[in-house]
Formats: sequence, structure tokens, C-alpha cells
Amino acid sequence: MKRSGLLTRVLIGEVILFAAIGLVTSGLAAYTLSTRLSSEFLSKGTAIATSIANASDELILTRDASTIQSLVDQFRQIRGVGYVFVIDGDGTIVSHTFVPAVPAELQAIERPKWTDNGADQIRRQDIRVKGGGDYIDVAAPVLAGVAGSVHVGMDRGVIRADITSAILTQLLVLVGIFVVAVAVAGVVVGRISRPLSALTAHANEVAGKSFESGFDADESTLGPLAKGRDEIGELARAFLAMERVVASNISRLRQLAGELAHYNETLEATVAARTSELQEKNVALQTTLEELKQAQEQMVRQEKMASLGALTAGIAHEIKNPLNFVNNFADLSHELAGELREDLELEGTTLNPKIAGDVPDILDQLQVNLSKIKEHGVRADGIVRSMLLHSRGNAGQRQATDINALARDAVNLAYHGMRALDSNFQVGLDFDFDPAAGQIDAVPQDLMRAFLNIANNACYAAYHRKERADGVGRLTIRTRAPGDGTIELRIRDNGDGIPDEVRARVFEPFFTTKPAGQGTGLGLSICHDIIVEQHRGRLSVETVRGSYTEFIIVLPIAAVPGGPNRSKNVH
Amino acid sequence: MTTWPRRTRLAAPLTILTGLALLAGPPVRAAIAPEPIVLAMSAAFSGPSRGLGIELYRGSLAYFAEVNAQGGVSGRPIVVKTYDDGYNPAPAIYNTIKAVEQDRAFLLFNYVGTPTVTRVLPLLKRYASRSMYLFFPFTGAQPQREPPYDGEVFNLRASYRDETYALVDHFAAVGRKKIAILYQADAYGRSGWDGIRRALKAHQLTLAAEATYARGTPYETHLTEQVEILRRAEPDAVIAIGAYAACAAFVRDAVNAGWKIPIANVSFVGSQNMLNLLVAEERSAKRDYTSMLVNSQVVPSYEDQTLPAVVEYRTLMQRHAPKAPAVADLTDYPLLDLNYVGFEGFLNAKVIVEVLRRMKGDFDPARIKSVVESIHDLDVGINAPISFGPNRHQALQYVYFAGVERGRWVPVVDWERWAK
Repeated sequence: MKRSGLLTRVLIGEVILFAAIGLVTSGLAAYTLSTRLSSEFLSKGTAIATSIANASDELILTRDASTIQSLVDQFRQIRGVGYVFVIDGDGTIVSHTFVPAVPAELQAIERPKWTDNGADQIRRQDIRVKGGGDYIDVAAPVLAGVAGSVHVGMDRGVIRADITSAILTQLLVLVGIFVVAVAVAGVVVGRISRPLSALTAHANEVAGKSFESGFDADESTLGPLAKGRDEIGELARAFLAMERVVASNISRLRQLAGELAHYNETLEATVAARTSELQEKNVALQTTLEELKQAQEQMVRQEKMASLGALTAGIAHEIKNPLNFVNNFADLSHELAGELREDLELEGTTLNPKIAGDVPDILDQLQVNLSKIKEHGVRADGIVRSMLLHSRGNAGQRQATDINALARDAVNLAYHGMRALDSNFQVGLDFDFDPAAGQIDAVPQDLMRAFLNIANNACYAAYHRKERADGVGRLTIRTRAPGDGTIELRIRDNGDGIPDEVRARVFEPFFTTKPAGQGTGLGLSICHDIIVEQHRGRLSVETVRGSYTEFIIVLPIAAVPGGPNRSKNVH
Repeated sequence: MTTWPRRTRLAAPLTILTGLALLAGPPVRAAIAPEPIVLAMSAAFSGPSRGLGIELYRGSLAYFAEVNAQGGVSGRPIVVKTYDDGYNPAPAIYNTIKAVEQDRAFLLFNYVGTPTVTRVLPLLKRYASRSMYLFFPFTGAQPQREPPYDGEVFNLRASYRDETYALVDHFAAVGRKKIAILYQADAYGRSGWDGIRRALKAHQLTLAAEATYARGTPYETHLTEQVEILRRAEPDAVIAIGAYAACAAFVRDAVNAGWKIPIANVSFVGSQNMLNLLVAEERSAKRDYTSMLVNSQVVPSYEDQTLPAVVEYRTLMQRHAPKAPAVADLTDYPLLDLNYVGFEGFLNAKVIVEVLRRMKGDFDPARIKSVVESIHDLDVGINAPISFGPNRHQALQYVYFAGVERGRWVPVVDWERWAK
């Protein structure tokens, strides 16, 4: 058990008290004893010296020295007598008790003329013998000093030893009492300090406790203590009450801490989710940024295309007149050649037979040539018209439009366009037109653009197909009139098909699967605009991976009332 | 010496049987059992001076055994009742009281030591009405030779004064006039000190230096301090008034200090015990510790076989092989063969037996004094007549000297050896 501070303090108090008592009583005893013993020894020495002196006057004068030595030896035995020696009338030491010799201090001791100072005087003096101790020398005269003197040395060492022994005894008793007092104090203080110590230990334990594992009021320790009727009991009760409060607070705290921990965890998950979302958004933004860049490029390209369109329109317009001349004059020349043949048949005999024989052949050939000029002139005129149709910048007007012719022109234009770009380009074209499709009310320039775009894609897919390299690329263009006020146009290629993830986005603007720079990503978006928004039609795509892709365009035959004449001008 | 232990062992059972017979005797043969004459002997039988008591006793016993073997004195055996006082005054007093009051001693005999005897003397005054006398104490001190106690004591041996006078005279004669003294710090030492001072005074000399040692100092104690004190005065000779253990220690330490000086001891020292210690020291230290020794003796040399008493002593010692008394502490104490102390005890016994014989069967203590004082020119075989008288309780005054040759005490005939 931890040492009781209370006990220590009581002990220190007792030690101080007893030390003080010991010091005072010892000092007092030493003083008293010293005084008493000194005086006692002095009177003892005086008695001895006097008795030897009284007994030895005759001995000194008449007897052998051994007689007085015998006497002296007897007194030497008395306690406290350090030495005895006898000086005769001549000043010679005739008997002494010293071994191995009379100390110089005593040999030289004063031998007073006793008669001069008054008879029978006892003299006392302190003698310190070097290496031999302290003595009170008591000198008694023999025969008033005439026969010498007797010296008795009372040993101060014995006095000191007596004092020491007395004080030691006293101190021993004191120590005994002290021990008893300490024991009593120990018991009394123990009664007080044990519960205090228990409380302290308990408090320390509580202080050093980690409350992570919870905290309960220590009823088993404090309970018995709290039963006490004294202040310590009150303290224990207060303690117990405090611990109960602390325990409830801590359990509440623990609960809150648990909640906090839970929130923390949730927060982390949320943050993680948000972060991943952000990352996704970032990616999306990145993508958008890229798409924007592409759109920018596309717009730049379309700007270029627009100017090219304007140029093309200008050129076509300029070419159309000379082409009209060529066609008209080829017609005219063909008629003229026919008239010449009639004339020649009529007039053939008049001519040199040799010439007459060749001219019809030449005329035939001329007429064939002119037919060819006419044929190609018409074709060129068709191309120019298409170009004009396609590049016309101003708002198109709804008009009755032959859907079959428009589809054929668009596909042909796409086909030739591809051919113009790549001489190796080769796909088969199957037209399956329903004559019932006929005329619909639409903006032919815009529809042309939409069809051309879809046909372009179809050509590209059919030509670049990979999955079925054995077969040849083929486009199938079909029109149907189901009789519900709509006509349907299907443009199918036998390409690789569109992956699902791409298919979902094919109508998004700026989405393209072509290598950068080859597509604007606007084509199908524009198509969608033109067909769905502008003409209130439907545009859908069917595709089977590795087999085909078919774009289905459904258009109302009559203009849908309320629909915008032109919702969007992409140029 | 080599034959002694065996004889001692053979003799031991006999002595025990004798002792038992004596103890068991009176009740059985009450009518005819002679009452023994009890001589009380308080002496040092333990402690550093025990050799004195033991050997003095054994010397006496050699003679008593012979007397008892021949029927005792007037048909009564002589018994020496021994008491150990360890050479200390207080036990000597108690022993004496016990001997007189309880053990009904006929007389006190062979006491050893000055400090003990000087304290016993007043008791004799107390027991004067019972005619209690002390015979032949083994001490040369003055108190028992002077009033008021000389009446109760009979001394056979010469006094320390005699011994110290003789030593000082001889040293002075060979030019050694600066005499230092080592003495036991008690009445014995003081007695010798006093004797030497007086002897020096006769030569108009004073003590060169003096040092003391405490009674009971064992041989193991170093007396180098005393050696230094005396050596500082650069004396010509040292006279030691002490017991054998301390005196041997002093000689040892003086020699070890490289101090070559004649060292004299008086009879009380116990010359043989001292020599044994120093011879043992010589053997282990390979040094000469004995050649400078000169001891004064109060009996003739036991080596002088021209003397009938010496022959008798030797014969009876061999015949009776006396053992130590039961009270003696014999730890590490080998009994001696012939020696001065034992010879003195033998002579003491001879004289006391003569005294007892002269009682002629009437052992009334009151008669003792007159019987002793009637002895004149008694020849005990030492070529020295023994005489007592009413004013003469001191029989002998002869002093002999002994030096060491080849590990034995031999009489000193030529003092020139010690010439300065």
C-alpha cells in the first residue's frame, strides 16, 4: 500500500517531539548527572585521599613501602578511582598505581608546603594525562604535609561513562515510548488513512483509467466506505455520487462518440462518392471540352464548307447557262443532222458517190456524238442542279418533292462523291422504289442534305466493313408508301453495324466514329433536325453487329400543320 | 624430564586411592583413625603465576608424602589443604577465613605472594586468640617481617631486601651503578622497589629509572613500552621484581629490541617457569634470550648435590612424583622437574615437619609459637643453620645467584661475567 502521508506527517511530528524531548531531557540529565557525579566523585576522592592520608602517616614514616602500596591498591579498586599515589616528605612518589610509569604530568605535580597554606587542606585540580584520560586530582596532606601527600585521581572517563550510560538508558526508554507512540499513532492514523488511502488509490485508479471501455461507479470499493458516519464516509458518498454522474455522462458521451464516429464514416463515404462523381464530371467535362474543340473545328470546317457552297452555287449558276447552250445546241445540232440526212437522202444521187456513200455514216456518227453530248450535258445539268440544291444558302421553300428522285440523286451524289475522293471506291447500289411514294410536301434542299448525309455514311460503312471481307459492299435503298399518310425511306448498308454504346449517341451533335478530321460529327444530328424537327418525321436506326445498319426515315406526305417552316438553319 | 610424565601417570591412581582411603577412613575406623594435621595453603594455582603455587606445593608434597609414608608425625598424617587465590588479595582473604573457620586448619602454610599475604596479615591478628600462624610464605616482602605482623608469621626464606641488597651490591661491585627497575604494580613490586632504593641509598645511588606492569600480565603481552621507558635512562642493569610470565615477556621484548643488558630477577619470579618460556622462545626465534639473566635465589641450587637436602629432594621427588593439587588449573601447564620453587617448598616442608615433631603429639596451637621459637641451629641439609627465637621469626638470610648455561640454571660463581 502507498505510504500514508498522514502517517508520515504524524511520524515526523512525533520524531520532532521525541527528538526535542530527548534533547532536552538528555541535556538536563547530562547536566544534572555531571554536576552530581562530579561532586560525588569529588567527595569520594576526598574521602579516599583523606582516609589514606590519615592511615599512612605512620606507614610512610616507618614502614616498608609495600605496606602503603597494599593500602593504595585496595583503594585503587574502588570504582571511579583512576589512580592513587603517595608522595613522601621528600617529594618522592613512594607508592602509585600506574602502569607502566607515573605520567609526566603527575610526576611534575606541585608539591606544596602544606604548612605554609594552612594545615589539612584538601586540594583539588583537574589533570589531563596525555593519552591517559582526564582526572580530578584530590590531594590530601599527610601529617599536615610534613610526611607528604596522598593523591587520588578520580577518573572523569568513568563519570562520562556513567552519564553516557544513564542517558543511553533514558534514551532507550524514550525510544521504547517512541516506538509505542508510533505504533499507537500508526493504528490511529491507519484507521483514518486507510479509507483515505483507499479513496486516494481509487481516485488515482479512476484518474489513470481509460474511459474507452466505459466507466461504472465503483460500488464495491466505495460502497463500504460510504457507510462510514464520519467525514470520510461523507467524502466517499460524495465520491460515489460524483462517479455515478460521471458514469452517466460518460455513457452519454460514448453514445455521442459512437454517433459521431458513424457520421464520420458516412461523411467519408459521401465524400468518396462525391469525389468519384466529381471525377466522373471531370472526365465528362474533359470529354465535353474535347467535343467542344471538335465542334469548334467542325464549325470552322463548316464555315469553310459554307463558303465552298457559295462558291459552288456561283460556279453552278455560271456553268448552267453555257450548259444550257451546250444541251440546246446539241439538240438543235442533232435535229440539224437529222434534217441534213433527210436532205441528203433526198439529194444523195447528186453527190459524188464516194462522198454520198460516206456522208450518212458520218451523219450517224455525228448524231451519236451529239446524243452523247446531250446525254452528258443533261447529266452535267443534273449535277449542277444538285449542287445548287445542296448549296443553296437561303431558306428552302416547301414544295412538292419526288421522294424517289430525291433519294436517287442523293445516293448517286454520295456515291460519286466517294468515288471522286477514292478511285478504288466500289459498292453496289440496289434501288427498290415504290412508285406509290410519289410526291410529298417538303423542303427538297434540306431533305437532300439529310439523305446525302445518311447515304454518305452508308457508303463509308459498306466500303470499310471489316467483318465480312468476302462479300462486296452493297447499299439497298427502298421506298414504301404504307398508305397512312406517310412514306418510308430505308437506306441499308451491309457494314459492320453500330455498337450499342455508339448507337445511343449517333444523333448527338459532334459525335463521330470517324478518324479526326474526316467527320464533323454533325451529319446525323443535322439529319435528325431536318427530318424530326423540321419535317415532323421519324428517324430511327436498326443495326445488327457484323451484318447491317439501316436508317429508317418516315415522312408525312402532307405538311404537318403548325410545324415550323424551318426550325433550324444549320448553315 | 622425559621420564616424569610416565611416572606421574603411574602414580596418579595410587594417589587417588590414597586420597579416597583418607576420605573414607574416619567413619569406618573411627576409633583408631588418626586425625590428619591440616596445613592450609592458599596460593596461585591458576593464572599467570600458577607455576609458583603448583611447584611450591609439589616440592612440599614430596617430603610430606615421605613423612606420611613413614607413619606421619606422631601417627598423624599431614594433609595440605589447597586453596586457589590466583595471586589476588581478596580470594586469599576468603580462603584463609574458610581454612580457619570451616576447615579447621592447624596452621597456614606456603602462602604465595606479597599482595596476597600482606592482606592476610590483619586476619592473623584477628585469629591471634586461636594461635593461627602463617608459616614460610613464599614472599620476601617486609610487612610480615616487621611489626605489627612479624609475631604471627614465621619466615624461612631471606627477604626481598636481602635479595635486592645482594643484587645491588654485586652489580655495584662490577661497576653497574645505574640500576633501573621493572616492578609489578602492587605490594610485591613496591617491596622490591623499596629494597632496591634502600640498597642504592647505601651506595649513595638513586634509581636510574622505573617502570611497572600490572599483576597478572601474561607472557603474550608486550612490554615494549616498559623496555623503552627503562632504556631511555641508559641503565647498567635492570632488576625485575615480578612474576615469571611478565618478566620473561620483558626479557623477550628487551632482547628483541636489541637491548643487551643484564636483567636480574628475584626468587619469587619462579626461575624455572621463566626459563622454560624463554627457552621455548629461543627455539622458535633462534635468538639468545637467557645469557644476560642473573636471578637471585633464597635457596641453594637444586643442582648442588653436595648438599644432603638437594639429594633428598631429588630422591623424594622421584620417589613420590607429587602431582598438582586438584584446584590447580593445569591447562597448558607441564609440571616441572626439579626447580628452585619446588626445592623451597621441600625445605619449607622439612622445617614444618620438624616443628610438628617437636610438638611431640600435643597439637595445641597455643604451643606452636614457643615450639618454633625453640628451634636453634637446625640443620636441614643446606649448609645453613636454621634458628628461630622470640624476636626472630626470620630464619635464613642467604642469597644465591643463578645464571643460565645451556638452558639450565646454574649457580653463578664469578660476577666478573657481568662486569661493565
